[in-house]
Parts: sequence; structure tokens; C-alpha cells
Amino acid sequence: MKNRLKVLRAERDWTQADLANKLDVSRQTINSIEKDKYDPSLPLAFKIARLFQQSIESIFLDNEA
Amino acid sequence: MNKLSASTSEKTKGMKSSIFVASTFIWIGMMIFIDKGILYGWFASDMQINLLIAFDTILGIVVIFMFMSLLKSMDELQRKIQFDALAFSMGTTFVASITYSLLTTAQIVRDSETSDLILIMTFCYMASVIYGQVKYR
Repeated sequence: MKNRLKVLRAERDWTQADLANKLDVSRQTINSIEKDKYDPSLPLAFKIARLFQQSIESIFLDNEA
Repeated sequence: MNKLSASTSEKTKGMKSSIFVASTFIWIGMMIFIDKGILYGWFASDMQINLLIAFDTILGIVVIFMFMSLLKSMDELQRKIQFDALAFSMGTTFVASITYSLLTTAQIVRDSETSDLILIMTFCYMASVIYGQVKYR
């Protein structure tokens, strides 16, 4: 699943570690999501959406859509 | 979550991890001590041996709960790496134990040792954790 996490993070001038701290996950998790190696759970996806004040579907893009 | 609470959470996780590793080493060390002690007759009575085995078993159970607590303190990706490793090591050990059992029945392997299976399980678990850490670097 593609996502816009890296772009959204860069717009706010946050490092991966900053975002990891805000979401209470490891930097490794942020890096893996940004590189499309790992799809986050629904609760984490909601947390990300809340943090960036956007809808989940505007951050995470369905490959099959 | 702010940086202070995130760093506190990291410290708690680090502490849990250290306690888990330390207690695992104590448990294994004690297991080896009891095993060698029985073999070389270091203990004065059967009662002493029984007490030590009971203590070591309780320590082993504590290690299990510590590992579960450590898993709970991990984030979802780290937990996935651990679960993948546990599934891989359990599956491999299951297949290896059946193969080992068949080889023993066929008398191709004569001196079957449970410790061989524990070694396989440990190796598979560690290899899988390292693979997961590299994959999701």
C-alpha cells in the first residue's frame, strides 16, 4: 500500500524520530511504512490521520483502486 | 505524545529488555549448574536437587511472563518481527522433532537428545529476528 507519510512529514519539517515520538512507535516502524515495506494497523493509521488532520484514504492509497 | 514521555517509554522498554535478558541468563546458568551438579554429584541430598529444580522451573515461568510483558511493550512492527520469528522457530522445531522421531524409530539416529531440538529452535528464532530487523531496517 502506497502512502504520503514522507511528504506530509517533510512538509512539517519533522524527522522520522520526531514522527515516531509523536506516534509512540519506533523510528524503524516509520521508516518501514514510508518505504511501503509495512502496512500499519488500523489504530495506527487512525492515529497518523489524526496527527496530520487528514482522512486515512488521503494518506494511504489503495493499490487496487 | 511528547518527547519526554516517549523517552520514558523507551527507557521502560530498555529496562524490561535488560531484566528479561538477565533473568534468562540466570535461568539457563542455573539449569546448567543443576545438570552438571547431578552428573558430578555436587548435591548432598535428593531434597536439595528437588528444591533447585523447583526453583529453576519457577524462574523459567517468570521468564515466560517477562517475555510476554516485553512483547506488550513493543510497538506493532517489533511485535510482528517477534511473532514471525516465534512462528518460524516453532514450525521448524515441530517438523524437525517429527523427522527426528522417525529417524530414531528407524534406528538411523540412535542417541536422540532433546537439547538438539532446543538448539534448532534457538537458532531459528535468532536467525528470524535478525532477518526481520534487517528487512524492516
